[in-house]
Amino acid sequence: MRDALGTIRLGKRAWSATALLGCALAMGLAWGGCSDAGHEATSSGESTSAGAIANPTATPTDAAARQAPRTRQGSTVALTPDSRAVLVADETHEALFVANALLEPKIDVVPLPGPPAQIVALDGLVFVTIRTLPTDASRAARDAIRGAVPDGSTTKSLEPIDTAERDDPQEPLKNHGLYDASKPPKAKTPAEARPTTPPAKSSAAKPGPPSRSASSAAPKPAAAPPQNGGTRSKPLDGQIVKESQGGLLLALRPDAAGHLAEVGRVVIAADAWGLALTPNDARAIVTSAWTHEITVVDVSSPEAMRVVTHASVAREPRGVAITADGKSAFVSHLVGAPLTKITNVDGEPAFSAAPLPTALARGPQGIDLHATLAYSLVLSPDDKTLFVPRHALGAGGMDGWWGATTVDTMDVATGAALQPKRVFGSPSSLVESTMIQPAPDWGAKPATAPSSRRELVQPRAAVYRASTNTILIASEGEDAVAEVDALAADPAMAVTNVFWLGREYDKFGHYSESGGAPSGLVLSPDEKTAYVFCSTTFDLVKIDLDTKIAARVHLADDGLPLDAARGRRLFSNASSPALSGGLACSGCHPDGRDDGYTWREGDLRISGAAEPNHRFVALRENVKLGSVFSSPDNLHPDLHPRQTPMLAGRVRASGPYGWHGENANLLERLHAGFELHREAWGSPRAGWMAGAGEEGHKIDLLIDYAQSGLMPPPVVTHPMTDQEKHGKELFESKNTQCATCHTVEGGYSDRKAHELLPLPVRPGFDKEAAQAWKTPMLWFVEGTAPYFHDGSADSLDALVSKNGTRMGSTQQLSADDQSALVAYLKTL
Amino acid sequence: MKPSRARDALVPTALGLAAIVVLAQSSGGRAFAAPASSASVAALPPPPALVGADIPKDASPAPKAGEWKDGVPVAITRGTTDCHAKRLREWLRIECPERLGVSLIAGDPKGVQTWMSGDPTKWDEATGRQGHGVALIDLPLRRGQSFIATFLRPVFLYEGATFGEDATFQIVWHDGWADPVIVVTTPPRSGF
Repeated sequence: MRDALGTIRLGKRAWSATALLGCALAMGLAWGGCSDAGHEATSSGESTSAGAIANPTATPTDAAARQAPRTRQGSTVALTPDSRAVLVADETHEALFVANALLEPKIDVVPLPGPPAQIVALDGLVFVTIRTLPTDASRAARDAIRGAVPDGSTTKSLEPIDTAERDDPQEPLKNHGLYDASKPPKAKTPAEARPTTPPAKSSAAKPGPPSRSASSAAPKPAAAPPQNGGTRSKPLDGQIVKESQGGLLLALRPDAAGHLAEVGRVVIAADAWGLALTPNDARAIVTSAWTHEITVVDVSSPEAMRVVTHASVAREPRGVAITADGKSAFVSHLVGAPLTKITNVDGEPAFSAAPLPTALARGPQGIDLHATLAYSLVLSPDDKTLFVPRHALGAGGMDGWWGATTVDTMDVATGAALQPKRVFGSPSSLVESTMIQPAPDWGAKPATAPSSRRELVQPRAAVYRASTNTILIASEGEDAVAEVDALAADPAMAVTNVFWLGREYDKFGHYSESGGAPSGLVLSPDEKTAYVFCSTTFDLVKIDLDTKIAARVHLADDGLPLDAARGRRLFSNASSPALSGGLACSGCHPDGRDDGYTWREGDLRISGAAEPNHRFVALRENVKLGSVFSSPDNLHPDLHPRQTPMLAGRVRASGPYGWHGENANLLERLHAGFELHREAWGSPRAGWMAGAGEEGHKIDLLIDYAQSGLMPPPVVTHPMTDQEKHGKELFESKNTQCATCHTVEGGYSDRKAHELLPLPVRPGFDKEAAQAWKTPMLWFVEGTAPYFHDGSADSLDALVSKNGTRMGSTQQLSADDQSALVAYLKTL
Repeated sequence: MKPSRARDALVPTALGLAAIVVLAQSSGGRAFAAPASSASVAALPPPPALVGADIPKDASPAPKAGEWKDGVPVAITRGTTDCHAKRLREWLRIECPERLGVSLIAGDPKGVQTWMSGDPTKWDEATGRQGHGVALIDLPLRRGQSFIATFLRPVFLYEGATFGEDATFQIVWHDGWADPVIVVTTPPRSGF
């Protein structure tokens, strides 16, 4: 309906009068631009007006007059209560983008004091978490990395797409031989259409060529690599970039011109990430990922927010879900299976671990699996069931070398896991026939859990679609949104719809030019439209969930140099056959950090191969046995522990790399990594599959990104305490000899391999002959538990106390000295 | 690793894989398409969904084979399939044609039974077509219990037929739910 002034009124509050006036008078755009497209409400409840803005004079106390928000659970994308504007929190550009719901190519850009993580949009009020408020030095460094704040000039409409169709990133180059060469070629992508001038030389900071040409004999593809950006990436200095004054929760309201402006802030633990508000909008729960804290904030007066309480919890708290009564909340963790439960949210909050075993239905028997990537969690509308999409490392499935994606479910009332347990030796009937051959390694086996659907890998965000009892999950690795059945015992086994967002894949590099790495989504009120933010290509996509047709707008260009920007897209890409077997770099290194898991590395036999190759598996149970091709080598392979290392801020060194220092430089390490990170059966390594040039090209891009765009976690620096100073003295003393190998230069590593006493062999692993271990860097060591290559020390205290004389000597240290040493290590 | 040696060794396998995939895609759609009668069946009103109130709370012995003739067809609540379900007392039977096997993957196995008859990979001289095979699973419907079962389908390699991944059934009856649901999902047919 429209009032006399032409203002749309959707619900109880006008959202545009001030904005439209402001737009007319001011040059800026308000909450999505000042389209004058008629202000007609659409079937999904959105308006064609772009200047959706709330009455800035509104106060949070007139609750009865406010429109209900779409959700009070944070995401990287939010819809205003009147569904007229879409807000995107883009941490890369350190800005909020405000687009209208029609996705017209006019946006308002709201620069922020630091990188935003999640938004909640209320009526006339927006809350945003800011991961870090940088120090001045960090600010300058981050500005240099990020480039100029977007001004909307690079915003553009993209062609609508049919998300039912997949733009296959694995479509091969010509002459690969494995596929049907008679298939008519697709039209050239923009990447292919670019002139192919010779690539510029790599940055001088980049390591040299590999010492062994692992794939030099591989057939080279006919197509030339795409033109490199030729833009030299300057490696970032993690020790400066990390400097933080803390995380923030910001409150913003539209000003008189309709632009969002900060009205309040509260400082909380650094790396503020997840966000959710209580139903009465009185309190917010904020997670701080790196600093593993949860903070409850009184937001009843956004201009004067205050911390109610905070608590230290397990590693990497991320998503927050608050029950409808506002009394309880659950927090997911990127590392580990247990959740955190918060009770008495509206009073004096209490925090406790809430066990939720992962992938019970996939087993294996008697092993509690490690969970990762729980960026989000979502409650059913009746609050009875909690859903946690994540990775279950080691979970069984046909092709699960790393495990499987799962949606773990919890009975909120009892805290019980709802997935049925995997059964072994269970009833199973097979055809009795001599005609039947054993399936190949990658094939189906009787009584094997179903394969993990590749459309659902690296889950980022989730929303419950009440009208269909389904859950939409942003699938980062496949550039897709997967819809799963919420009524299933394991919804991840019941993918009902896939919306493919990735487009214009570079046929050489396999990175998408648009629709890359969806990280957040929100539903329209009628649940027929989903808005999705794609975080590596900076696109906002509006999917009609019935027709699967999607409108798109490109919000801004990547501020990184071109090659590093492409590396960013590759880093989260799980679909490239060169990089790994169905899992992206960010699958084990989320945010460039680590998954807290100790993997198994061993010599496993690729199907049909003449000799075994180094491969990773999550568990011994993931090694495939018995097939028409497999080798008896795989029956009892030696598997050695390899704890996932953190990457962000730790890859500036020229080399060597690898646990034994076996790789001369980063280029070699990535070559090795491409080999390691894939199943021991099925697809062979990239060097054979794709050609040396293609593999090297990807490595080049990834190194650019890892060194110049992969941001280290924020750390609040402070003057050393007396205990930390004492710890530093101990660290540098000749008695402990810590600093002998952990030299300050190079991030507390001399980058040499030293012979050490072997650690006791842990259950599930095998004895390793080589016991010369490269000195690990100590930067950011506090946040990277567990420790040692075998993950046998779950804390720095345990590491120091059990070290004895294995590394230097700490056996002579008193308990206080050990504590001091640990306190110092935590400052690095 | 010696890449060149490994590569050489892999080539025949990979070529075989390509052929296998092509064969699997083509054979999956031809020899094992849904029965011809399915079109007419689809025109009939769907069977009713499971209703919790109709399901006895007390456990009874698993039905014997002959008893299932009195089973009442029930709807597969969510998802599409050529399989069929029926209920007898608090027991559920799921029956899938042209399959090579069925397994319970998760859930309490007590009372669960599976069956397989026929061989869909054999050529039936009498009918002049591929042979029939039926896989079925009987499960108890109990409040607070869930099950996951998977079926296998035939896939053809050079060496002969082998197992391919097929429908996953999830029978879910959480505490507090009025009715149990049957969810079926079938993976894309191009793979194993």
